[in-house]
Amino acid sequence: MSPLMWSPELWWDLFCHFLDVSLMAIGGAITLVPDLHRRLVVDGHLLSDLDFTSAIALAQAAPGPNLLFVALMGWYSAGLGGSSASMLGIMIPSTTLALAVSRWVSARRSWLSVQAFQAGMIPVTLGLLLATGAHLAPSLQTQPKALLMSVVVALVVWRTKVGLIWLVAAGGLLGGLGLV
Amino acid sequence: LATASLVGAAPSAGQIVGTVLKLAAPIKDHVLGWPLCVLLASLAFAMMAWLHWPLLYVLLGLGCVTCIGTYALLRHRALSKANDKAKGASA
Repeated sequence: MSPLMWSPELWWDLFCHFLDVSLMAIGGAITLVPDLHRRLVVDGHLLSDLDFTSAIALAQAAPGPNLLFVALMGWYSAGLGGSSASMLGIMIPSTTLALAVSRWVSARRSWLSVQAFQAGMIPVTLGLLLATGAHLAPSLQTQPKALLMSVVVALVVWRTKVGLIWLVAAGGLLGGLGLV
Repeated sequence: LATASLVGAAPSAGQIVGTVLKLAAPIKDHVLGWPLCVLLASLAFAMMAWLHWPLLYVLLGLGCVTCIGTYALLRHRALSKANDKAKGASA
């Protein structure tokens, strides 16, 4: 892959996939991960399994919004053009909807239907987020140590206020020393 | 290199699961009650992670059922509250 590769068909493919999933990102773009894997890796062959996972790991570890995994997937798949096409695809519908709906919703907070939607989507979103976590988790058979690391990180994030950057640094150190 | 990058996803997985556990705290006060919330979350999880259903079906199917159920419950509560008030006023 060269950053400046010219592949309009791939860009269009990426744009359409991200456009499709954009409005489904109810719990944030990260809930889209299992669906994106099915589309981009299993069915579309636009990305390798490894690039897919790396894009998420890198975006989660780097500062800035984790939505940037979308740009990285586009980048791994089709260079700079792929990156831009993917970001446009995911941003256009969701941003438009958010701008249009957020004022409408905040003016109707007292409506039962609005409350029902907001409350009702909570358990579904939690389940979807958990599915993303499971998708990224290392396997118990082949990488038990890495899985242990996931469990420790989960407990630290849940129970403490330790900054994520320290967890990333610790993970990097363990990985660098070849312990995981 | 392959394993190195896959291990790189290990903290991300942990981070996401940790966030879920953090976000799950308010469901003990949820309208549907926490056991039902846990059941619904498990269903959503199973549909995505285990059955590999398209997200659209999960959102439209489970999402709609959950939202309609929540709506019915909220309405029922609002109505019975109104009834109680009316009774209190007439007594």
